[in-house]
Amino acid sequence: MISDGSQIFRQGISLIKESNVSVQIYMKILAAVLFVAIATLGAYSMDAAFWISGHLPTAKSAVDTLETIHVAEYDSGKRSPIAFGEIKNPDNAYARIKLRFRVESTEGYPNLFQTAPVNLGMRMEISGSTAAIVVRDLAEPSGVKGLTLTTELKTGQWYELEIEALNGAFIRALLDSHPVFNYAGASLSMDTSQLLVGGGFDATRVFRGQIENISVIKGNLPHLPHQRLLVVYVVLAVLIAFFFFVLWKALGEYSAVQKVVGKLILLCFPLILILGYFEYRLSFVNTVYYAKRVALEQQRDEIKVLVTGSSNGLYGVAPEAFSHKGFNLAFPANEMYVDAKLVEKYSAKMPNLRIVILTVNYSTMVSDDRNSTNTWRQFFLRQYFSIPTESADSRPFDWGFWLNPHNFSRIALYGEDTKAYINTDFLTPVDITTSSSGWFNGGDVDGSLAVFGVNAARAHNGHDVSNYDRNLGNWETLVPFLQRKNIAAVMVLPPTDLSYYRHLDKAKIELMNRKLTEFANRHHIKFVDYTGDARFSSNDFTWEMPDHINGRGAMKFSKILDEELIQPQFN
Amino acid sequence: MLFNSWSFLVFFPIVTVLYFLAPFKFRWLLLLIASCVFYMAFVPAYLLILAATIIIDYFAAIQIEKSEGRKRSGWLWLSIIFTCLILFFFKYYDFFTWNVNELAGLLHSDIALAALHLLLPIGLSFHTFQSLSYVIEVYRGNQKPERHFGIYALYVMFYPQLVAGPIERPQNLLHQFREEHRFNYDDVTSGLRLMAWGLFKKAVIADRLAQFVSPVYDHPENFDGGVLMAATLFFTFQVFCDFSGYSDMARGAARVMGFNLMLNFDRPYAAKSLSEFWRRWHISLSTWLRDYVYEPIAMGLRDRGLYGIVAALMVTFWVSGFWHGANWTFVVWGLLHGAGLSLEAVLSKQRKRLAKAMPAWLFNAAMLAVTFSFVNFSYIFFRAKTIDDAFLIIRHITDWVFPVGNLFDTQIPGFFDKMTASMVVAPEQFNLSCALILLLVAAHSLQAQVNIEERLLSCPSWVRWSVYQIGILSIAFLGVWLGSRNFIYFQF
Repeated sequence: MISDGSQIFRQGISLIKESNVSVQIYMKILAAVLFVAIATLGAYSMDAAFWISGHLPTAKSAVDTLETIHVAEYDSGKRSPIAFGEIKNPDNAYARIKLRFRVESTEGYPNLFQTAPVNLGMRMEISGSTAAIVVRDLAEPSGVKGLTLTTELKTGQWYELEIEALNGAFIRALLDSHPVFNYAGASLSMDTSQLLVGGGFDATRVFRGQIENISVIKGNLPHLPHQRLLVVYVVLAVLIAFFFFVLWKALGEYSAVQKVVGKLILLCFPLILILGYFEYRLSFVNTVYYAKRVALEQQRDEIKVLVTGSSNGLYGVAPEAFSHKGFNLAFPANEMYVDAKLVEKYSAKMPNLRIVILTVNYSTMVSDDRNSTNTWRQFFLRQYFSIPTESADSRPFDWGFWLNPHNFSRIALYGEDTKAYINTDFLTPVDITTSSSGWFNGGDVDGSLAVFGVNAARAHNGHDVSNYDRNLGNWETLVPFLQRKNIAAVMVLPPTDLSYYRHLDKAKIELMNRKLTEFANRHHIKFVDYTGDARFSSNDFTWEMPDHINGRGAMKFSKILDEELIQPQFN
Repeated sequence: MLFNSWSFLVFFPIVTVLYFLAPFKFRWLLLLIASCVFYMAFVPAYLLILAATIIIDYFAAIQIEKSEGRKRSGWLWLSIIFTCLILFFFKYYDFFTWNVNELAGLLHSDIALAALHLLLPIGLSFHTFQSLSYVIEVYRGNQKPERHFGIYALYVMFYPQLVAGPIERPQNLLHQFREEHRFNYDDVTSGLRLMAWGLFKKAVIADRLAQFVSPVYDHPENFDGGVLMAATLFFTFQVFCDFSGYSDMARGAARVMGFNLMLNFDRPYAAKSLSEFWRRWHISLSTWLRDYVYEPIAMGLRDRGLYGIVAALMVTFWVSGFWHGANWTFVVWGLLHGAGLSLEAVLSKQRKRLAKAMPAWLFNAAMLAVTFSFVNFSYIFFRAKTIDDAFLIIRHITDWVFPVGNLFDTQIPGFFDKMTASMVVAPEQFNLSCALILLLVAAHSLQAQVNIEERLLSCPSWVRWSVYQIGILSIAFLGVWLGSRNFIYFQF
């Protein structure tokens, strides 16, 4: 048989040699094939990387060790600084501290909080009217880096502070909901042996004032893997080099053209390599899209409950509280079109999936992000999840795909921020940090919601209800698709605070509820409206977005979902 | 689509490859389709306006050749009026209504015309002038009318020069579409070099300078005279690099395919007089104005001597200013240049006497400084959003230059109300901008002595390749690729 095979092969080669078809034509065909291969791999580099990961015998766990601790208040005259414990393992140690504070005295350099004694960790210090974060930074000659929060601190005034830090990566701060700094560096080396709120450095620097609504999330985040992406990009580089060589050879019969193309290739190849390196590094920069893709791929075999939706779902549903393995696949400003595409794509890869909770809300139902300020998010989903943009999906052929670099280039995707990411060695976080279950913990702080509620309601009331049908139409094929796979689908309206809900347009809300009810009845699925649920109070919603649940509220809501919707599926 | 965009990076090689692969008899069609695709990337519907002007001018030119006497001039005027009406409607109608309404307000009249807020079709001013030059040249007997409709349409729509020139004469461009251009190594490489240089000027220099100029000129009241002077100086180089960069890319793209477009800029800031400046700046427009506005008027007023020349100059530069935009700032800019040229004409004898009295190098340096300063000053009006802004800028600059006893006795807000340059861009960005201007000036000074391209080609290959590599990496990493990257002259 082997000799027959080699005989056939030799006969084939001699036939080719005898034919009039020149080698040039084969080179041209090969060049075309390579071009298509490069284009495909370039457009689906993320899918290729995860395909490689999925076919390797070992895969790292994507689980974090985050815990949330909520403490009501600290009063300098009434109690001592509050200890929040330690994060034993400094590797990828993560802390998010959210609180409200009011300073009574700035004498003696009081510290609001610390993660470790002296200058070994991160602490906030007040000096006169200046408040700053002091953190250990091995790149600094003094070993510490000072990051100013404000130089106009006033005693007696309440401030809202949020500090988020990842060891060896970044620290960022918001003061009164305004971003103050976002500092990144691999030399950040915070010890996390003693997380203390109300004091720091030493006992003489105790904070004098009040601190309330202290919410601390701490633990270790998993490292975002990138080795498979490196494989993909190395393969791309090799393919591009091979393509250029084949192209150059294919042009052999046109010596002038070959000369020009050869020189252009030699000139541009270094630039292509440099840009390719940036594309590779930007692929695994810290963004919720990549982090969720990693977590989803690594846990998909175990997932039994999938949650989708926009930021309401992202904030509001904590799969940590489910009795069965769950994952939150919601994204900020997600459209219902994206929910459908994500579920259709991933449900096929989740052998144990039993129920999909489709969270929906007033803002989602009226939105149309095809040409809005949120359009850029579609390109993140295109690049990280290979979900085509809604405009492209409506066309039989996306002829404009390669004309818009946002579809395939990370440099185009991150735009002006690319330079900042390069300067900080790609450690700057792009957006929010979620847990390994995909949930974003909004913290447990309370605040005055009235003003924010009115503003949010006003913004959402301005949208066009004609989008109801368009958006709901995206789920018309989704539900039957799930039902064919014996996966239950449930539609849920998450709770919102009264300060927001009471200002919504009643007629639009009524119409929305009617449409959702009709949809649910038509498809024989459950639809539950938790918007005015009496089990939730103002303490369950975030400061700045009263239609978003905070950490405490999410745990409560998730337990309710588990008891009322999830467990019955498994019983 | 913009030359400095990703879509052009995809468009250009595809069109060029197809051009050379296509049989010669279909190349005009390929280029015409490509030009339509190029134009439709802006606002597709405006292709219809272009089509309308092409059809009218095509038939008018043929009729001009067939006709005689008054019929002949009738066809000419029909074409001119129709073409200019389209230009007026889209570009000047709202300006016209605004002025009428203002005037009506002053006269306490009830007249109130409604503005239409129409989007200006990209390149309208350019292809309008190009079409006009065609019918006028046919009328004058200098050009045979093009019988092939597709070739004529391509003459108007040829994508490298469609939206911002050069404004080509039919004698230069039309015949080239009938010549077969083969792939030529020298044309392709020099065309690509020209495109790269143009892209460097646009993306690295012009767009970087714009980051300083735009915030300052958008709110001049917030800045002191020093910052405003710096912004004006930066704008002088920004507009040059922006426009000449575009022209170089247009010429380079055409040259790759074997077409030769006219030189549009010839180191204009090396001019030692305003007349020389206009022989070096936007040459295609200045020669157009000379041939079709200035010379007919000057001929008609030749009996008036110097008065006739001055009148012709003022009208010509009023047209030039108006062509640039529907705003009084452009008109004032144009009239300033008209006045400057008129002064040169009046003082030509005194200038010659001065040249004889001074050492040549001193005279040249002085004339260069005076010319550059005048051009720089005039750009205040060119760039300012309103006449009031322009005068505000002039006052602030003057008060900054003459701080003791304000020349115009202006109220200057307190120190902390004035923003400094460092609040507009980071100091290192400002310094980089200055360095790039110096680089440009050095390159132009060198070009005056020696042809840089020829010198480069005679260097060893490692020198050439180093220059090319540095150039490509500079464009990639120093270029401003985000934010507004439109070419300044697209708005005209």
